[in-house]
Amino acid sequence: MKKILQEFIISAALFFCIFFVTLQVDWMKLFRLRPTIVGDKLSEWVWKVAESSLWKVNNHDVCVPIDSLVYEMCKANDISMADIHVVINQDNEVNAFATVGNHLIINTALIKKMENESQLCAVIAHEMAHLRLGHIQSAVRQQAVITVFLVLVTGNGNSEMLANMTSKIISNSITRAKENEADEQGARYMYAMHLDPMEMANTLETFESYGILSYLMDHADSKKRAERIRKMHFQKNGPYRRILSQETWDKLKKACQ
Amino acid sequence: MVRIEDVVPREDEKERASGCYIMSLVAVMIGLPMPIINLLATGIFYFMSRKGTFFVRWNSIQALVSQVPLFVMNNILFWWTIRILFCFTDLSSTYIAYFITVNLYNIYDFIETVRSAVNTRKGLIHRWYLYSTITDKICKR
Repeated sequence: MKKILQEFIISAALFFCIFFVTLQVDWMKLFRLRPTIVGDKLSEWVWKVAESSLWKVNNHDVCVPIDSLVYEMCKANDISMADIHVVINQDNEVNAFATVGNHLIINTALIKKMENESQLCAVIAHEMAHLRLGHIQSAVRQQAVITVFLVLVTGNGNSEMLANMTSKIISNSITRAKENEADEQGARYMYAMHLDPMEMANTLETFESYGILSYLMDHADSKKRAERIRKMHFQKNGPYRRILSQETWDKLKKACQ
Repeated sequence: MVRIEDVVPREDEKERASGCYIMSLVAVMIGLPMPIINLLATGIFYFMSRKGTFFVRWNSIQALVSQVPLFVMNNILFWWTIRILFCFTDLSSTYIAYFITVNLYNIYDFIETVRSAVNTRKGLIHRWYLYSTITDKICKR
């Protein structure tokens, strides 16, 4: 027994010595690796798949006003505009979503449904909050790996299936708690840019009255979410401003028809 | 007490004993990403040979014992890798250091297993450091 113990200690010491020696090297620096390299590569892959299913709108009347709104929001909230990539997607589904690589997708049907710029800003603010709070990075990466495994197991790698799966990933991977967090942060973003934060609550209620089930299905009850926003306390910083002129707003709505 | 070195194996015993090591080699190759497979394979082979002669039993136990630390180390590496792939944790120098250490150990284990298989086939005893001492304690004639 003594011999076993002696040999065991020597073996374990040898193992830990080798481990200790290898620990002295900064392998990350040596191989020029980033700690988040796996997640980043997955994010790139998810975005590539998601991008293939989008119909990007390049119309000047649509892109410029949206960029102005995003710019104002970024400026007021100290967010680098270069970090946010807005993509307008030609789609009949009333939806907007944030995805990996700080991409913010806004469907034309959503712009068409919004009654004013504050409502549109509320949706953008909510999605931007998801990006800034790191909800997307953590959840989508994990789901992306599951998708890769599913593809490997089923052997079904067709791009349409992957694209559908990826859009589902985005909505399913965000929990209701995170949705509430994004609502509250979004309201704060609106307040900072001198827009009425209560428009966030109004927008949520509007969604319900429209019965936009597709948008709300993976989210918590919108009435409850609106109530939470209304309970938030904001000091008066009105009168609230307009960012886009009426003419620009009308042109935007018309271009989305 | 009869020492394993004192045993003169028959031809079929040499073949069976050598098979224990070959089994773990094949299992390592097949189930490399899943560390449980080589332990399971060696375990199954041990249960098949436990009613065999002393020479066969001794070698199958040594093969099994040699797989236990490998199983523990590879298991830690496997789940650590899964955690990185699923983004529960980030890639780090510590992970790479552990990866290198475990792989060095795997290479050593592989070489020793091949040597054991060859020597056992010739009827010779290949004693592993620590594992043969444990095997001597476990395996009695």
